[in-house]
Amino acid sequence: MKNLLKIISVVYLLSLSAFADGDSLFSEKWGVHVTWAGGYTHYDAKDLNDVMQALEHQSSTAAGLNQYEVGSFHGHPMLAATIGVYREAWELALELEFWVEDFHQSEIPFYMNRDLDPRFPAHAHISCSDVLAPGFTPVQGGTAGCIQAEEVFTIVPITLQLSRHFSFWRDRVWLGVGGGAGVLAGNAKLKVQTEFVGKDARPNDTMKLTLYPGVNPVFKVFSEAGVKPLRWLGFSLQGGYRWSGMKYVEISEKKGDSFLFGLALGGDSKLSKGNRAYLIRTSNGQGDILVLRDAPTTAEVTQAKLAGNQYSLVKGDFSGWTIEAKVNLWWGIHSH
Amino acid sequence: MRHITSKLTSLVLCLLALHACSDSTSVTKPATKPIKANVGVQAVQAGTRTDSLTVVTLNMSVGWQAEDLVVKKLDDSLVVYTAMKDLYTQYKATLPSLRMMIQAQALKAHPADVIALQETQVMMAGDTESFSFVDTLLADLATIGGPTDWTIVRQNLNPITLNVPDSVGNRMKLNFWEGNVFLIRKGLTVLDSTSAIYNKAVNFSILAQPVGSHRGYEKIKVRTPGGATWQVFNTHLEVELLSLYNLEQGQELNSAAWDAWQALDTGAQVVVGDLNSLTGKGGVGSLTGSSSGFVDLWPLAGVKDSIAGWSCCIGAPQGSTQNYDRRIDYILARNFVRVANMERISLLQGEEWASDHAMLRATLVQQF
Repeated sequence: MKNLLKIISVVYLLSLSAFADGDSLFSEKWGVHVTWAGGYTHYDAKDLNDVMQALEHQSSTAAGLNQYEVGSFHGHPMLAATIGVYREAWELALELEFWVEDFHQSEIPFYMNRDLDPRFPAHAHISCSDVLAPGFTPVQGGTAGCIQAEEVFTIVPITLQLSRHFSFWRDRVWLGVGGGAGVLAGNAKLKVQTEFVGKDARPNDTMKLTLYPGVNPVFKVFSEAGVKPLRWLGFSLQGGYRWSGMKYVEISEKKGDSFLFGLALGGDSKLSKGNRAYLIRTSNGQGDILVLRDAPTTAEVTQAKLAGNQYSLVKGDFSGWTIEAKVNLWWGIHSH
Repeated sequence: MRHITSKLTSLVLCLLALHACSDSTSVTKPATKPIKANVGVQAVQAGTRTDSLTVVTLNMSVGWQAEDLVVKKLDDSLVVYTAMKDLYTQYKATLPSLRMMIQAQALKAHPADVIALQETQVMMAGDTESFSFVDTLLADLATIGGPTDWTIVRQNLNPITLNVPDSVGNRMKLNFWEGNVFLIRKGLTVLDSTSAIYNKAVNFSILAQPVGSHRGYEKIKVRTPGGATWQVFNTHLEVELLSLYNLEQGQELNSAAWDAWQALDTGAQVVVGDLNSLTGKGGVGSLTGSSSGFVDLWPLAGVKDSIAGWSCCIGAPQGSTQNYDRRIDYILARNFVRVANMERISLLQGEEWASDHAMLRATLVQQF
């Protein structure tokens, strides 16, 4: 570590001496600018949080299941990279943000005859380890089991950005402002494994779903402050605001089946490619209900409205602020 | 299984003679029929006639663990044989003959104009054995001197016909169906009766034979001797476990009731049954929400959502220390002026529960 600091110090001192003739750090007329950033992005994602609440609600009403406890999510750690070209104080760059969020729910037991089993009085906690324990036998030839669920959201906003910088102190410090437009890409991968226990129980099943949100526009503004100790190296902090969202979440690929998941969340026990996520939003305070299905028919929409309910496509609101720490590399192509 | 003291059990055996609300606000049906205007009750206006209808709702089954069937290997004939045999054994252990007699006695003691029954099972095993809840109930009513002259409206659902071999060639022949049934006392004029199956249904298969949990409702339009017209719906919604299905079936029923309401010139509308949802939730929430306008008679009659008002669910057919632990059976209505009586009748005799549900009975008054 000490050696690394020595090397950095020597390089820095050499670079200072290189600019002793008065050249500014942005002296090149044209150049390439590459950045790598880590930070945090915040957003509301109301629909997706409502989906998590609906899952909690739907499982808590199910006999034999524990409360499915979920947290809400309002942001992610993020990574971002840009590559751009600059001309004097203006820069045009392509930025790729990359967020990944994992959810694991490994404690979803079910027990069809739980009410008849004196080992589990009403409201007693029951766990997967209880029903999967060697020697556990459901009463009255019933069936029990455990569901393991895992979901990985990968969200990739890509924006083309135009920025302007203002440099000070012989260009060793700069401020920048900019904006961009692009698309929000990505997907969510869901894996559900169910293990059944009991006499003549169904075979275990596994289902993998890829959920695709379509291509959605992204707009972004930002400001930046940085230092540039070397002609080719700088460090900066960037804060900004992004407007983006998803118009729907659709099953784009499905492998295998999950009998119980399909039964609970599907219009039927089968889910299929092209089904979209809907929330049935209720007006009586009972909580929303999640369903993966084809578009509701006119009759269904009317029936829901008459009851004060509404089928609402699950969308994603990823508008929110970002803050990033960036490493900047410049490669000057044409000097003044 | 819930262990409640015998003291509480005896308490719920008491009839809850609840009445009233004669000084409340209006439920008359406005000419344009905006939904929200139908909530409440009102004092009878001078110069108008009144008439009443006593309605009972009862889910007849007990301890039937058919839900477990769907998570068995139902493509294996031996598994199906065993599962059906187990179910049939459980069914026999519930002593259906005794239970029907207890239900008949309760119905004799608490007479009604319209009796709405759910889970009216018919089980035919082998070539000779056959048992029908409703037919047995009617025979028992006759035996004990109860009312016998009924107009019967049946809705048969979920037929299963199986002839399955075991590993040594023994065969299990089983025909089963269940459904909703109205018993309408003679003296009432039946103006119309229809039934429908909900679009939302749980589908699966047994030995490649499509079966499912198909739920539905039946609707009657009757005229009571005093001249008033009543529409009554009888239904049994999907179980709470499948909250999506329960909610959407409630929406379908609410829509059907609304259409029938629009076509009703005069009279009151009543929805009864096992709605398999807690107060304000799922299917019942779809019917009683602010947009729908059905009045839940229990809170109107002053009963809180507590043990005194619960109507379900007894875990096993025997055991007097058990008690009801939730309210999922309802009598809902609109365009009436008064609830003359509302009661819950517990169906425990000795150690035997005649149903895992209580019987609800209400007398509604309308002016016309």
